[in-house]
Amino acid sequence: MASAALESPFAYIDTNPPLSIGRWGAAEAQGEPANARDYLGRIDDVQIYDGALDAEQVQFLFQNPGETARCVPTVSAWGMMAMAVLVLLAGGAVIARRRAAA
Amino acid sequence: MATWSGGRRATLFVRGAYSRRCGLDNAIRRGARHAHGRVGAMLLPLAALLASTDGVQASPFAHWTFDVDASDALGAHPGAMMGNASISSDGGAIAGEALILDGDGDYVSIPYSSDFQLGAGTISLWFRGGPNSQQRVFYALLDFHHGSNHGASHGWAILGARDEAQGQAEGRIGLATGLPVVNCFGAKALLDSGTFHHFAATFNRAGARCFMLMDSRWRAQPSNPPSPTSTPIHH
Repeated sequence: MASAALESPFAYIDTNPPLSIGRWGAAEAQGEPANARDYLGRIDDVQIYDGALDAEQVQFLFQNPGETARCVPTVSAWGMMAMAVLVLLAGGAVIARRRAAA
Repeated sequence: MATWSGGRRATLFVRGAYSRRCGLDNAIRRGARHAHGRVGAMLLPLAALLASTDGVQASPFAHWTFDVDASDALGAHPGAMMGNASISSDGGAIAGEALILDGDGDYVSIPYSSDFQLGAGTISLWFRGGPNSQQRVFYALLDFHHGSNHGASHGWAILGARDEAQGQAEGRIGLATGLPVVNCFGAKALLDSGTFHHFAATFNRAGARCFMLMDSRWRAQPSNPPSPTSTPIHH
């Protein structure tokens, strides 16, 4: 059964395991030839992120091969309010300066 | 010059703030081009701070393009090509060139890094099955010590299998992790030769959740226990 083999038990210890592209590192420890699960074909544009991308970002990767996912920072409600206050203060400062100059 | 200097400082500040959070510069560069004035110099750093206060974005920390060799475009995790692994020269790639593996001793090995010990992460790659690849019962696209004692706590892998039980030659492909186990299997492996397919899996072990997309379509199915593991992380 494929699922049983995919989720095989943990069997050996390697304190500094490499990351492998195209090979399952535990093959020999699982009693298989080292190349038993070597991939046949082509692999391209492998990316690893330190967190979860959302569906929109994955869609971007699909539509833009070779590029990394765009960062779309979100602005909190407090951030929006603070930004509005800053814009008002900046506007007030400009008006005050013009009045003083006049 | 004072204006330019302020704009440049703002540019550097914003780039630094976003880079720490997002690791991307493209949007920053576009925004920074408009930051030549004093107001821009003042507001952009503040905007960067405010914008980055809500939610932590995922950053890419490894990117193997396989255009020339197995180097990491982001610099930190260069790989070595093993066996007869090679880089294409015929443009048969999804972007630039691609890694060619013959299924017998060919793979890329990247030295261990704690960066790979992901509590939450996203794996994105493109693959195209070679001739007769559908005859392979099992294969691994990417593996960080899944199936070992060491990987019990933080190993993970992108694995595929021909599902003989259901007589499906295209089989399944998916993500499997060590403990806490998060498994996303179910997408058809699409090992037909001649076409590149995009695979992306994103997971968060803390929430025991993952979701997987093949060619931008959600293909995850509930995995073997524990479940639910195929709930999209972001809603």
